[in-house]
Amino acid sequence: MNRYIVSHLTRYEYEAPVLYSHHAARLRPRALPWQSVQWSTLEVSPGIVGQHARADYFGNECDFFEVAVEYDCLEVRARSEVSVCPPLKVALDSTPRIPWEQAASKVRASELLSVAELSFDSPLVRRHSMLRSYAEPSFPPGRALWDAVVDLNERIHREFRYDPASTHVSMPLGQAMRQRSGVCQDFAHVAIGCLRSLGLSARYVSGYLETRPPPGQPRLVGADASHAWAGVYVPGYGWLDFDPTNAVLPESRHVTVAFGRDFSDVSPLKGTWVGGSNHALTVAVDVEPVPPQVAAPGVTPP
Amino acid sequence: MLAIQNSSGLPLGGAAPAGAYDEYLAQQVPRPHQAPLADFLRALPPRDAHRLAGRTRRRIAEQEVTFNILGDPEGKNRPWAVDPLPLVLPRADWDTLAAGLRQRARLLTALYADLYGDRRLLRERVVPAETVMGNPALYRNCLGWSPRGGHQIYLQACDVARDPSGAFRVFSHRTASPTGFGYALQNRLAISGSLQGLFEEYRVERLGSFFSAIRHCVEQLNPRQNAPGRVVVLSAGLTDESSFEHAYLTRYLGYELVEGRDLTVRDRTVYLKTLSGLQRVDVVLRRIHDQQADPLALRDNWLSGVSGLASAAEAGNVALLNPLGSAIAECPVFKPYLSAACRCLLGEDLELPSVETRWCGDPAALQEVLASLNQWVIKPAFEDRQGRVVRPALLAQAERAQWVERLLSSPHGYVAEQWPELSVSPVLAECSSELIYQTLALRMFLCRQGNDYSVMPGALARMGAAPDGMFLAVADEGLSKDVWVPASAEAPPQEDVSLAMPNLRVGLRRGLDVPSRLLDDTYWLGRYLERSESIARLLRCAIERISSDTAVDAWPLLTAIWKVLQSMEVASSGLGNTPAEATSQLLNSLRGDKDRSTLRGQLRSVHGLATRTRSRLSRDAWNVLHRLTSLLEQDATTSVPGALEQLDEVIRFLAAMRGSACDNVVRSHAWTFLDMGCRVERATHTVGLLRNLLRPGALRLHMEGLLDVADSLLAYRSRYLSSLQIAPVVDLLLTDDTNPRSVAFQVAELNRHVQSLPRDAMAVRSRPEKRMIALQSLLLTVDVPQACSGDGSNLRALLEDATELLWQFSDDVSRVWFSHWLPPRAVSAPSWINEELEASQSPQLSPESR
Repeated sequence: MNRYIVSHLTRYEYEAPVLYSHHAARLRPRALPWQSVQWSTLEVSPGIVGQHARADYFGNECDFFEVAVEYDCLEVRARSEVSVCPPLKVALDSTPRIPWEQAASKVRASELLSVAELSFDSPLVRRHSMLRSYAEPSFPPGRALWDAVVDLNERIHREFRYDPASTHVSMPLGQAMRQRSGVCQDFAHVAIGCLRSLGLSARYVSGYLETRPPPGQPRLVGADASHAWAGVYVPGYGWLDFDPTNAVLPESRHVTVAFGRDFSDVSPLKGTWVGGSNHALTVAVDVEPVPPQVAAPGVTPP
Repeated sequence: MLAIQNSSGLPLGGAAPAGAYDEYLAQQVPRPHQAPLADFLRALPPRDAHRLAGRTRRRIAEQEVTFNILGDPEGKNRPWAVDPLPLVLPRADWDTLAAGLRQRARLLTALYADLYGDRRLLRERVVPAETVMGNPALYRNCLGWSPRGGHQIYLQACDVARDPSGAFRVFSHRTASPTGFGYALQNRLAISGSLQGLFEEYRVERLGSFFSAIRHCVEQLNPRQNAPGRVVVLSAGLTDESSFEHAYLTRYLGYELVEGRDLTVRDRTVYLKTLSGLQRVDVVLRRIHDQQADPLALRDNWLSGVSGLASAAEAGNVALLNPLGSAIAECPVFKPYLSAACRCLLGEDLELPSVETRWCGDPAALQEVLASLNQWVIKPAFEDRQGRVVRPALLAQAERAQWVERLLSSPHGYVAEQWPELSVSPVLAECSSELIYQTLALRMFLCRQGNDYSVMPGALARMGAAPDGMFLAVADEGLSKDVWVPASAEAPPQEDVSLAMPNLRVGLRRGLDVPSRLLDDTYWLGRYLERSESIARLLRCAIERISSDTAVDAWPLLTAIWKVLQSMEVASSGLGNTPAEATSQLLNSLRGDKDRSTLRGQLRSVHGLATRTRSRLSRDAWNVLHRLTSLLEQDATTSVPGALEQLDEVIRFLAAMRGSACDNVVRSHAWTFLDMGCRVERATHTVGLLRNLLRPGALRLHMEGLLDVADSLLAYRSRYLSSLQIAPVVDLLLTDDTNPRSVAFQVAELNRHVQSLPRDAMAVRSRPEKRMIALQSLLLTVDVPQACSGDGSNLRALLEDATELLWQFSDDVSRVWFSHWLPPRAVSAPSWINEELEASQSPQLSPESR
């Protein structure tokens, strides 16, 4: 089990004061069977009003707030302590070796709306023949779903270039497909689009990666900021996540924040403001391991 | 043919198409309920028919009823066209239709409540999962809470048409923010007046009760139990196709018309931004679609909405009509399942059938559609608003193959419908006095009343148009018709329902509640009006001189005027080197091709601003403005006399506009800002004229031109006769506060206005006030003869100071009174990616997005 203190700082600096702003934040890691959240805090400077929090449709913690005083600089600091269990190797090995076509027909007939809805189009990911043809080499007839997904995970990693410079602005899926490049968001969207175009259910996962790997292990791509990966629904088993940016299956170094249909459901912090002008944006993410002996259970936030 | 002519009165230009239901004749004889209309037409001489059509058109033009087809505020409005003859529906047909519509309205409300609540339809598999869970109109942020008043669709519209058997079929529904009932009302007012006798003979049902029902719905939703509620009509503004209707309805119902940026949400409560601060809003009658309503909670890429609106509705602090999320009920994808849904949710059989519809996402339905593709009409399954309709039967081979490909690749995105031949009814052809047949589709309107719905006893009939949705139709130059429903025989005589608001508080000065945005627009309307006048005067002065024999002598003045025009961004290139070149340049500035930088462009801005502030303009002021702004839109003139005539006219109408504003506008804040706009512009312009025309070495010519442009030649001559000297000219135009054209006069007026406006309680004098006091004392204390002596540097410095203060004043006005209503912007997302809230970035993989 790995324990982390996660801190995620967002700072907007404006040339002219902002008069008022509204925000929605999905910055608190969610509790999961393999992840527990000891505590989480959200600090906003300057002060806020109208704050209310609720779980969104997908069960993610969502904070809504308004900033009602004039400001030049807005800081949103989310901190939390989470522990993530090691990968469920045993469970993985016992994954039903269900052929992917059969999985697709089970999804189609599924009683579970929460599964079925993730096989349909979403705001940023629509099924398309281009995605389907890209996926097909990994999905020969009769292949076990999980084997095919692992293969797709590696192909996307191999065949798409990770290029943060190329996308300051988020890219439509079609563009990422044509350019064969993007950032982790695009990698995840490509994977999800491929799976859905084959009739499978796929979800978007946002979260963090351990910032500084233990000695001897490589630093994963995307560790400086929030990260994104994907999950596939395996009938008879449940959801299995995979990270096409790094061609890995998330182990205990991935901290999960939110699930959704695509990025638009889990945007970490969004908002609208009145007044203001050009702004500079700083984001700092740190996922710091906590040595087991220091983190006594029941520790309170600093 | 002769038989038709005799029985119908006016000649019928052709028979009804075979197979279509004829609303007017049966076996070549008018149907019984059409008899009074036929008698009327029989007695109508052709010339009068012509007049009737003309009168109706004029009524519409005066009101400037328009339909903004492309959502373009820059004049791509099409006048609303209405046939002078009504469509009369037999009472019995009406009663059946109305009952069927009421059931459908109840069904759609139940469907909406179910999809956002229990989801029986999904659990019992009455509708396929994808129709709901893959539906972009399902807003997941609206799940799990109930809006004030519950999940009810208060206002609905429904498009119906008769099939060849005469039975009504439903083509589409509108449940988010149905449009058209304002146009229906407008049609009624335009028609009923000119056909008074016929109207009474038919004992036509009045529309007023329907609008009372709307008002009743609105009042019931007021969340504040003991206080009168503030109701706003939320419109997308001029870019909306039916912005005329929004303004019209608002005035008719007595509410306030606002745009998204007029509202703000603070602590989950909605407020209207006004000059006197934030005023709480209780009910929002929304005329914008769900996806535009809240950029934070609903769909990211619309900044026209109100951030936090969904959250305020969730908290129960505001009621929306219709509630957010109700758009889902209008999706065409549900049409094939409505019969089953009706049995499931209401326990009833669906009375009024839809046109045959298949959702292509159902594999069996897709097979059926592909097998007989030419019989179907293909439409998007989820969003019915773009009016995109494809008729495969009319496509070329290659295009048809593309559509087959598209249906196979994304079948879930489409529905296929079978459209029957529509019924036909005669209309009075324009510029002739014969009747011609056109197809007919009806848009009907419903409003929640108790546990049921009331149907507007009338409808908007659209002629020769596609039967589903109205926007495409109007782009096809469709006519509309008023629809008359005779009162039932046993009904008591109708009372006119008064539409006055109950308990009007006498003495309420509503001026205080004007949205700040409106005041800002009014301020700029003032500026553009004045600026247009200045430009017109400059052009007139220049064109007059260049066309005289002394054009060569006048050249220095012309170049100076040209410089002023350039500083006003009206003249872009040089004046040229010869009088001929200069003439053509000047005529170009009047109404050349480059829109912005001409007088015509300025007048278009005036028109745009006037339209936005129309709710505060009197009808007469509006008529003057309407004439004014269309002056330069007529045929181009290339002659000097023609141009001078037009300029005279423009100046005359601008004066009339000012007169109308002075006489007819209540001295509210709106008027204050209009006048402030004019005065700031006039002061700035006059200082500019002095700076440009009174340079060292200024000639008599310059001074004369200056006085002419500043409309002070007469005043000067009455004092100083014909001796022209710089100091008296400067005095008259700059410091003489008895000359209504002088800078000092404007400053005094501005000072007065500024003091009458609400101010920060803490500040003794507002910043704009301080600027005006500074300018006023500068002008009062300056020694004009001394400033005008020497090399002119003193005068220049004085004028520069004045310019600076005026600029600062204008900035301050914006900052002090308008900054709080600035439109919201999106914060870019702070993660590894700078997404501008996904603005306009829909995935390009969809076939539709090309």
